Amino acid sequence: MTSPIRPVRIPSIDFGGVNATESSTRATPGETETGAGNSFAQAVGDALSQVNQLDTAVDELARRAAVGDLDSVSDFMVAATEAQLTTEITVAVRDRAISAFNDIMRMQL
Amino acid sequence: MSGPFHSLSISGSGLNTFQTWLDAIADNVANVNTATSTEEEAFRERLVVVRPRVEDGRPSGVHPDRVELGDPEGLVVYNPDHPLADENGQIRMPGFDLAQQMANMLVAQRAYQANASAFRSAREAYQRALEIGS
Repeated sequence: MTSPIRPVRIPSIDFGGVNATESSTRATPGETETGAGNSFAQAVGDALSQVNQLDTAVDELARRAAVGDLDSVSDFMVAATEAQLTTEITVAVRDRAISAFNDIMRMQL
Repeated sequence: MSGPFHSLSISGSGLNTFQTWLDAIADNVANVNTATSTEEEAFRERLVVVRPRVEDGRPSGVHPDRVELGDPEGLVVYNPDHPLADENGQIRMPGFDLAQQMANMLVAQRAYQANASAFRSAREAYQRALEIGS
């Protein structure tokens, strides 16, 4: 392995509409990962754009609720809960990655 | 939508469907005393037809397919004082029963609550999953 810190990969999380990053899903353990340092940033970026997309959908539903144009209250709550959980997943993955990085930074050499 | 939170959208489809059914029942109950003249058809019961929903080849809950209308004959009753009564003193009343509608309303309400409960369980499960290892 060439890089001391293996990039964090989140291949098991399917973010649905967003194209999963090629490099992050294809890389296999033990393989030399050239340029794979970008993959975590890219995965988080993609996840955030997914969060943003869901948030925009919820904003639209909230606007319709405010003007009395909402067809279904349950649709709004489902969309809001999905947006909330997606945000929580993204934040959880980011927190774990940063805590792993901090553990390594604090390592006594 | 597909994605990681499949059970949320499944429960959401159930909530939507039973909301539609409740709407139909509300319309039936509101019109239970709607009389018509014998030349017209009676108020017809709203009957929601539902179908299983399949998205991308996998089961994704349920959706209200269409609303069918019930019996147009209704019940011809004798009520000569009614302004719509014909020369024989008869009017047409809706052909369904209020008691049946109330029973359906309870079923729809409980089914809605069951879906809301499944939704809450799924959300809590996902939140517990995020706490794994922390």
